[in-house]
Amino acid sequence: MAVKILSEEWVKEFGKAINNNPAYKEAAAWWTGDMLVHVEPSGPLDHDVKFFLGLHKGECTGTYIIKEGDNPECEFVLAGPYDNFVKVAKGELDTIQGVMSGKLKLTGNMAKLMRATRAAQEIVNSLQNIDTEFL
Amino acid sequence: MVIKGFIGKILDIDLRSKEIKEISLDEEIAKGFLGAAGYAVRYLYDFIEEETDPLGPDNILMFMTGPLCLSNAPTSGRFTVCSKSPYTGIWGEANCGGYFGPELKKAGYDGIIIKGTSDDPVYLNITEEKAELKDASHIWGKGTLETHEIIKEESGSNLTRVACIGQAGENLIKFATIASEEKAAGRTGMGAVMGSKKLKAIAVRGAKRKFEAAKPDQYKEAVNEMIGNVNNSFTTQMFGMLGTPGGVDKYNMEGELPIKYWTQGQWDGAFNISGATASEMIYTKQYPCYSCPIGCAHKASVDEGQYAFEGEVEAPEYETIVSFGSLILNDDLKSIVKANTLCNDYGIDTISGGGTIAFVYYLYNNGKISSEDIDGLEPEWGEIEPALEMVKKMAFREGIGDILAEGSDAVGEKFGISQDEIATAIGQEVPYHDLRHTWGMALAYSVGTTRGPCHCACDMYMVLLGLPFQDLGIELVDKYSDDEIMAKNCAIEYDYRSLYNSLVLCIFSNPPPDMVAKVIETATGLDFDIERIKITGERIYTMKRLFNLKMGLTPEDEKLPQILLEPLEEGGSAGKTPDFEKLKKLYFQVRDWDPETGYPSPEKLEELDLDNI
Repeated sequence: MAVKILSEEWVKEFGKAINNNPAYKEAAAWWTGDMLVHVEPSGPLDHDVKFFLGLHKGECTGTYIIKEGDNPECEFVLAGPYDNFVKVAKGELDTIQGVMSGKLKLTGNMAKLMRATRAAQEIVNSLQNIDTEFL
Repeated sequence: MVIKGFIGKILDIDLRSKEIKEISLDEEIAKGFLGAAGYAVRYLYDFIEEETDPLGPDNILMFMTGPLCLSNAPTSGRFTVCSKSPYTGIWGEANCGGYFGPELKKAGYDGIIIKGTSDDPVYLNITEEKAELKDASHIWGKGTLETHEIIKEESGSNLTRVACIGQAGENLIKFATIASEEKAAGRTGMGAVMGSKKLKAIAVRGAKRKFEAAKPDQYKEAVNEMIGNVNNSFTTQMFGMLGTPGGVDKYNMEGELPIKYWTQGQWDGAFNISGATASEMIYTKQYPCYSCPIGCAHKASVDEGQYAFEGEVEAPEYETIVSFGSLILNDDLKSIVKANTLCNDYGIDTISGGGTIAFVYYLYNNGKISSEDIDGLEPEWGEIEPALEMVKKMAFREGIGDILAEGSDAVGEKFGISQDEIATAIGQEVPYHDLRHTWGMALAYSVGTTRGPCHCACDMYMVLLGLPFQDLGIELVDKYSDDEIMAKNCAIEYDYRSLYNSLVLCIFSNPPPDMVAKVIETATGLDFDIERIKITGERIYTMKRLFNLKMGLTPEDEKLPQILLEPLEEGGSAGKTPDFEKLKKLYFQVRDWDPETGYPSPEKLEELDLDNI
């Protein structure tokens, strides 16, 4: 059954999808560093939504929707309008192309990021495996 | 001067007669071709013939800035050096950052035209008061680093900016560079042209001068918008922190990194020579060019080990990391710093110099030459010392260095090697973004090239990552495309970068083209929109095409060797290669070029106002 995007249930499914992805496990075996994903209002989304992805050595250690006012320290932040995130989730926008064209903004330790492009791609592949109900 | 941004004056030097005069910038040329390489190609087309010896007195060397030089537009401080190339025999163009261009503008000149040959070594000294030729016998024979020091000391100011050749230029190495403030006008052998004229250096110290825009308030708004865009871009962050080698890990993963002289698809050693590793191991600080918020260049220090030295040097760029690293399976980053410093000081292009040396490694390790053939050297894969030795021999044309100084094709000819095993096109080493990964690079390296194989003149490897060029008509297709869309994309990108090289802007600065149009318009006073960007770019590009055809280039010359087209067995691009002949045919069609002669159609020339050439 489809799960509503950006709901607490959905982010849990996202975490499960990452852990069920053996290609991610292999590509990110060395990776440490949590990610904050900030989805900005656009289209049918009229407010900011932030969620946390715990990532450690090939495992997703936890996911949750960040409450307003909370500001967990994360090594990486991926931000962008809702519409662009939907395109990524549907496979219509390549993440790297999104970042290079300014449609998505990625900040964090550059050395790690540039070493992790395969791991990043597998996170996106995991996202595309979720049965998502879009807004 | 009607077109703002230009000073309106060019220095015209005859090294034979020692005559120095000022001539006016031709505004009609500037309107159609802007400045820098665009202006230079239109100007030089009338004076250089197919018979002109690139290393003879009749060749002309031009240093040119663009109309945005001295402004605060991001990355606008670059300049170009243009001539007939002694390496390829066609259009020679090298693009350099640093501070020389703006200083030349401050001294009151848009460019310098250098004709003839001096009997004795000289250097050109330019101040706001005068330009004069000075004796250079005391610096002839010195490397570029020491030449800079001596001239600055003689001038009495560390702010004197210098462009000079090293021993490689003096010894007419076919791919010698012109060095300026540890940056380089690297490709196509412009340093050899300068050396053939016995011109060791140009020193310039200008007056205080501000950039004057045509529409100052609108210019300020337009340029601030551009600055904001460039500051916030991912490439600014990435190159700023990791330098141009920042992409090495990604390229290695995806099959874009050339390895073991183009014969291997993936390599564990890439990690050790990536920008990420460099940022942790050798970088000390950024070393940005004039008006550049990106700061891709870094200084490096190595304070322990075999290659340790005092102080800081320019850190190796991506192309050098490949030529002295992955291309010969060397993952010792500190040794690559050494190779880079040698090349910078001697004035050797690391793509062609390193590529030629890597070819020797390929021949040796495949049993096609022996140690006796190469002065007793044993260039085993992964061993850097023979490469360092070859750099020195090359700079002074000693022993095997005399042939190395002529490039890979000459080495191949000496040892009876098939052209299909030599990674060159139009006589020049191909740069280091593997075309089997991004198929559009097959065109960038061989078809319709402006200055021989070049990753900057048509940087499709970067465009397809997602640069915001859709307003120009570029479509973000799969990188493994060899269809009409890819051919069209390459044509558009060639045109746009031709415009860039006439402004001059750095290809790492990529705001949306309408922002660039606004800055050009408000700076110069010329009406500029997307359509004018496209047509001006195409005009400049086609002018270079006409120059190359005049020099004798034919469609038969526009080909690639099998070593670059053979599918690799492993790595991210395993099994993949473009249909080169199909892409070439499509490109000619997109361009409206005659497939037999390579000439643009009369209708195309008329459309571009080139029918009177």
